[in-house]
Amino acid sequence: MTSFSENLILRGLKSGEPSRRNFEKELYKTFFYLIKEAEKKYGIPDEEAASIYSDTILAVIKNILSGKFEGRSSLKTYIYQIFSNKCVDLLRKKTTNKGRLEDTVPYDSLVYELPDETRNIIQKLIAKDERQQIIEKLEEIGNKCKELLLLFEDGYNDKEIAGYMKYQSADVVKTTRLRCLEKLKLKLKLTRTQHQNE
Amino acid sequence: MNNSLHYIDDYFTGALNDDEKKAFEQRCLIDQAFAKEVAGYISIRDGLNVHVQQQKREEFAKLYQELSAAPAKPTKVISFKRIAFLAAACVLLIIGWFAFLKSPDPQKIANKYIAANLTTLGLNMGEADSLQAGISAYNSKSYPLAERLFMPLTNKPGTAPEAVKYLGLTHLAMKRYDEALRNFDELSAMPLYTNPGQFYKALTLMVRSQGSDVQQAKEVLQRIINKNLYGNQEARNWLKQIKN
Repeated sequence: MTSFSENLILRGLKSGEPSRRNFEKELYKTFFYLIKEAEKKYGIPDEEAASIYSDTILAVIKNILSGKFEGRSSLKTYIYQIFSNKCVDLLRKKTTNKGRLEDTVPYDSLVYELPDETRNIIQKLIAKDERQQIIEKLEEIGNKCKELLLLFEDGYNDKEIAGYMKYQSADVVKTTRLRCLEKLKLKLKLTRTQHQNE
Repeated sequence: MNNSLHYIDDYFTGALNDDEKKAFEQRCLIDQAFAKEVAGYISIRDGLNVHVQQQKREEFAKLYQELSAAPAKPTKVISFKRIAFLAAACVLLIIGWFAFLKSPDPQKIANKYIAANLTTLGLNMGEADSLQAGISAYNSKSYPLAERLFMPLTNKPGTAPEAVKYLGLTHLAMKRYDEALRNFDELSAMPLYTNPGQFYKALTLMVRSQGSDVQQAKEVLQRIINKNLYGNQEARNWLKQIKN
């Protein structure tokens, strides 16, 4: 069962309105006390616990938007469970003494949506060193394109973006969005060619 | 516009039915050019997604600072238990204060981190055999062998960033600090998703702690915090400790 304030937050997050950011902050504030609990229960220092908490909130937002959170438990229980799992993961990593060497593919990469066999093929082809360049080139494709791509990546669908950015329809947003993606791709390709020629 | 981009986008936005999805997955297996297009699409969207998540993390970090700094609500009744607790806390605070005055040694902080995080490196799936062999040698403390295994891989495009990183860590373990610093500078210059080069550089300077090393390490740590680079959490903690 979800409480009244939880319902408000859930509704705000799912609204597809630009005000969603405020509800994300509200969600962060509502369960902020968990950071202190991590210190008490697991002995995890404040700053590390805060980082785990941020990751938890981001994961929860993503699950709410994608519909993975079905409301079978309260939001409080759900968040507590994810947060606790992440705390235990951290402790396990520390006790097994494993170096924290970063992954080249993000843990929530789109590549994991592909079945195993296809994923293996695609994963080998993914350029591992492009992330910084993508961010740099994003500044070169125009503000509207940048905003559109980032909104989509933030979980807004084409229809919601159409309403927010005053486009005629979701189809127009999709075409524009893919054009922006193509533009970014070309910029990256150009940089790669320049690097190879140097 | 490129038609396959529409098709790829349809797959990842869930616009295809089951049969179409299967056909898409099959095409990735047999059509190399198409598979490359898919990889390019994922790479860009992952990059953008990481950027969005990073922006939100920064917003949350600001919120954390605000909420942490908010004054606690005053209590109406102070019980005897609370007074006893406060007295004990004061005693601990005084003891803590004296302990705090003695600022921790950067070398000790760095060595503690290395002992906890870098004595055993993870063997990652999918990495080249020779990299795995180098990591195994590192983990069994056969550093000269690890160095020999990593060295030739630093020039190969597929393994260069990982090999340079491991080679730097090997040099650090062998106390060959100048070489480790060179490796980490080289790593820092590589355009990676998350680049630990600067963080390991600071770590190396703290371990060596000679001449202006600590001052330099502080500057690097500050840069890591300012630019929100890999290891900024530790950088913040360490800088706080060293400054005291």
